Amino acid sequence: MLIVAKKISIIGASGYTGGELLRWALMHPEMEVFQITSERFAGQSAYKLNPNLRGFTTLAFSPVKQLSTDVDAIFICTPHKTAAPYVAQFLETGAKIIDLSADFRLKNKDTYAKYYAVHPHPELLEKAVYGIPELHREEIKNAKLVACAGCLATSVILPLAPLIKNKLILPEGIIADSKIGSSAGGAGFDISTHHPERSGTVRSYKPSGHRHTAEIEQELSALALSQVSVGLTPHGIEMVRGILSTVHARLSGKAADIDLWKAYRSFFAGSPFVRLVKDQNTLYRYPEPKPLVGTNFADIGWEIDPEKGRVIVMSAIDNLVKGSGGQAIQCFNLMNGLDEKTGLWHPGFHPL
Amino acid sequence: MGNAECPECAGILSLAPNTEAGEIMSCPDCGARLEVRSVNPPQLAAAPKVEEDWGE
Repeated sequence: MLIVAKKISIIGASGYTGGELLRWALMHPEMEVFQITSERFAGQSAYKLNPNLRGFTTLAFSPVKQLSTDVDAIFICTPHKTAAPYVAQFLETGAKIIDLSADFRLKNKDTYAKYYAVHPHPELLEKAVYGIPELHREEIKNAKLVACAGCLATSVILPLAPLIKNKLILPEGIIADSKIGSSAGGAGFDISTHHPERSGTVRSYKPSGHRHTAEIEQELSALALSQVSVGLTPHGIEMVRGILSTVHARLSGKAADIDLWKAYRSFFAGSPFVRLVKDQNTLYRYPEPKPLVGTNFADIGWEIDPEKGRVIVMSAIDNLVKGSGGQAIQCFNLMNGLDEKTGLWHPGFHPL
Repeated sequence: MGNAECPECAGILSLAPNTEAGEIMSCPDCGARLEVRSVNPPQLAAAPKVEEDWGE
């Protein structure tokens, strides 16, 4: 059978998210990267910013005004508020839109206004499907617009979803403590990212009210059919890629390990990128971000503290892959009737 | 020989045809050390912990 690759373009391809997405797209067996855009780097070759892509592409950045809409899919990797006008502009062209910004993740325009700004296109919010395939696989298959989940949100939603859905934990008082690599801050820079200021830090940068809290609560509340309350506290640490989220929750009853095994296995049946890591017989007993660098996996583990009646859930991802570019490719695969592993099935590196 | 369920995590282990009662194996999911209690029907139990024996 003749396979015709899908033509895709990437708006805002010069950042870390866009660069990672480009890497996966260039290696994808059923994708042809047609155009990449950047206003700041228009005319420059992509490999000048992404040295790992030297020899893999001769594409240069174009300004977005030169973007052809004669493509099958457009990925948008610009910051929030910048992405929404592009979505509005290109949604009716027939191309499938995969937005990696925060602009269409939230269903409620007031919640968006609380965490971001007044939404420029609230009429489109209902058209977007939230882009975590493990939660919305069937909706994503039929979507024209997918709003890819935030990286921290992905690392918190995935480990909590089976526990919330099966009412194994209480829906309030959940605390997520996340350690995150510097690439999550994007390719922009200021004094806080200057090497002498950043190197060696363990920095709490938004102890409460982090923007991803909104999408975490939205998705978990939908699963619970009631309001779920989660506190999220991220810390920037000495790491370029990766997130480890340690989530503390109160058990609703006397659940045992075997109950959680069953809940996780059942929820993630048919989800090839989620792996359960709770192994008493290895050095890697719980999830760690390092072995996941450059992969689309989300590793999840847990420990029950019966004395305190709580469960501690650990979740690791690569923020640039399962947390953005890889998850976007996973959504693209589903939207185009492909196996969701297509172009993404990579085991990572060890040692690294 | 058939499949057996891990008593620790409910994972399914496939027992090789030549498996014998008393064998020790590890669950590939949770890493628990398991003892084959019976091969027909296949049945696993947590393996006894290594204990000191200072018998005189």
